[in-house]
Amino acid sequence: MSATRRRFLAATAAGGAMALAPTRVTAQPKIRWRMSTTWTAALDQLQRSAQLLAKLVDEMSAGRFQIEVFPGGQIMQPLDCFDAASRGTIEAFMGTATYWSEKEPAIEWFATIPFGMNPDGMMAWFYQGEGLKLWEETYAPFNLVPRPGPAFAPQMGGWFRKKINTIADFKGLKMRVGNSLARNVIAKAGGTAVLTPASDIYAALERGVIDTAEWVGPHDDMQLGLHNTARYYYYPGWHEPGTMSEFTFNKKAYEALSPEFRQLLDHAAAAVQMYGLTDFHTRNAVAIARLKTEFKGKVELLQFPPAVLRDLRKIATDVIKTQSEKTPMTRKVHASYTKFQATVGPWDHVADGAYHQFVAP
Amino acid sequence: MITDRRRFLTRATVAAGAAAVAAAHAPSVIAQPKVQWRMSTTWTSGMDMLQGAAERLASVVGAMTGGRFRIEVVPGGQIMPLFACFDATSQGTIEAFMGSGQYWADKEPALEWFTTIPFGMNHESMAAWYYHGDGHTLADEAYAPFNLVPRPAMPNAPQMAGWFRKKINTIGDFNGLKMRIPGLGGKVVTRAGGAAVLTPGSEIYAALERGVIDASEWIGPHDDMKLGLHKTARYYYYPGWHEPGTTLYFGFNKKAYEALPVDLRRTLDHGTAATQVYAGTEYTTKQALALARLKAEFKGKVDLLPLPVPVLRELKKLAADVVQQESEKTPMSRKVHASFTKFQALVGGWDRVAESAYHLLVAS
Repeated sequence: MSATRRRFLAATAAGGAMALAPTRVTAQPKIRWRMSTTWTAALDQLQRSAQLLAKLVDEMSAGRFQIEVFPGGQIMQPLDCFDAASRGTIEAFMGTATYWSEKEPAIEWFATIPFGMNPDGMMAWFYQGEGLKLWEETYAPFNLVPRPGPAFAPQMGGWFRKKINTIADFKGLKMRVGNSLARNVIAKAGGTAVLTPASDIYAALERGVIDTAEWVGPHDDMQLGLHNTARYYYYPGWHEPGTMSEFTFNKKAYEALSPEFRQLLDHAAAAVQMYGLTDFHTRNAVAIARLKTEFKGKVELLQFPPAVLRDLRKIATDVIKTQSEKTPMTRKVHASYTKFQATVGPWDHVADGAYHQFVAP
Repeated sequence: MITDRRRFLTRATVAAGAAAVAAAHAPSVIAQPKVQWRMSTTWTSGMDMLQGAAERLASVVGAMTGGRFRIEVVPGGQIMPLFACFDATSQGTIEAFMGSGQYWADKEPALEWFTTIPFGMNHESMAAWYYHGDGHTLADEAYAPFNLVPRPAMPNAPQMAGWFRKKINTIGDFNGLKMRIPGLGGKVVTRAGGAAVLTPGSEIYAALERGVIDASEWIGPHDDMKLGLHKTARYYYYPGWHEPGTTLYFGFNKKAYEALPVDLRRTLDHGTAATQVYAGTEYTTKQALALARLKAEFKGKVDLLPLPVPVLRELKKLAADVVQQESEKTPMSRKVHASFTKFQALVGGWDRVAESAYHLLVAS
């Protein structure tokens, strides 16, 4: 406490010259925040995005605004960061909104929903549609200000020890699924969906505690060693087509920032989206190439049969509809999301869809 | 001028109240920006999204620096002709420009690859190549002889294949076709037996209407409808094989860029990345809205059609030749082409299971 105060006074003493001499300012940050994340340090790709935000803010403010980033588990449990930022114990957290759906079901729509929009669509909804405004409204009761972080999507369908040929193959299947809506879908298809923490997935699959697990994509999955436990690697990740991460700030701390720093934080988050999404794209491309060469014959990359996806979609539509009726906020968010998805869909079809179908191959 | 000054003073007074909190920026710093740049673009003010992206960068940078770094953005034609901005920035007459690398391909063919090439990567992979492949280093290298520092500004893609007055059923239908299509795409059409012309944007409508040309591509529904193209030709074809990943660029005068204090340089760099996100999502949304309008209001007057697969296959073959030949023009284009091709092959495997499967099986 007193160290911070001393630092603050020293910075103030530098006075008018400060803006002219960034080097001196660098040594004495005026604003220092703490950010805890929902990932452990081992999840390098996710953790790196949080550190990147801190780096950008530091560089652009010439050190006047510093964010100290802690991986989950260091100063608090990974999933405690939401409440801690809400109470102001820390000023910021990074995670994905999927984790907080029990607090308010509407929150899930800001991360991803089964058969929902991809990152392009999600980002357009946030910045050009009502997405971000609704997210702010949803987080306001928690004293939090959300900003979209990088997308970790599209994801893969998961690792399976047995082949999936029909929807009936989900019957009795014990599957680790991160997204809570998707867990309901699996349950309705006759399976048992569990939320195994990332660090335990490998062991659970290896020992047969679970039959199958989804995590993220080839890069992150191989870091957990999942390719050594199950043979069939399915796509597409119908359950998480557009997973967005979040940078979320304590409202009071955010509002106490100068307008300049508030803008800096907002635009830095957008820049990290660009860097993070392209990082995700590149690392997964490298990982899948490795998977195809180094693990040839040991791992099979398979597409879910269209009929299975059709059945999953039917169930998902019901699950989402039911969930969307839980609170007034959920109803509102679901309506906005659905409308936006219908708007971008036809353009997506002739632009991106046609690119992938006819131009890229 | 006077109004501006008054506005400054008002703002400074307001700011003074918040002084205790905002000790970081003394009001005097706000009132007298330390860095003032000028940017001219290759767009007229009617091109709302493109000119909007340039203005967006200026507003993002201004906001993040509390007004210490100001970029005055002027549309092409105001202080210089549209295409003079590259040379003007290169010479240091102005500090920045925004344009498309296609316009400068005569200076260095390699610049085309940073914009888009027929059957090349989409904008997401282009950005991945730039930020996580060799794209950034190579772009810096290619622009360096012109004293320019390039930064991606916004994706202007995927585009549409264009407006046609007659249907395209086979590759033979390109024979004798007079089409407005620039760059490498134009060379492909020429090889297919057509005549590629480079009609300026503002004249496309009249040329199509009068039958001076038979077909024309421009951008996507939003921009095309602003030119009125939907009233001149019935068949609107997709996909835009010729420009799958169009990425527009900012160019900064190297000396001016290097003279910036480090924090402002980083603010400019990260500001361009944020602008890509804002402008890219605006592109998606506005094209989607325009397409919906086209389908509803012009039902029965316009047909939205995919180019037949065999036609695309033929165009792809021709494009591979054209791109290959172009790539041999300079050592720089050889190098950039090699890097582009390698990266495209790398992301292809992931694209197929992630993006492609999404569009085929999840979205539809």
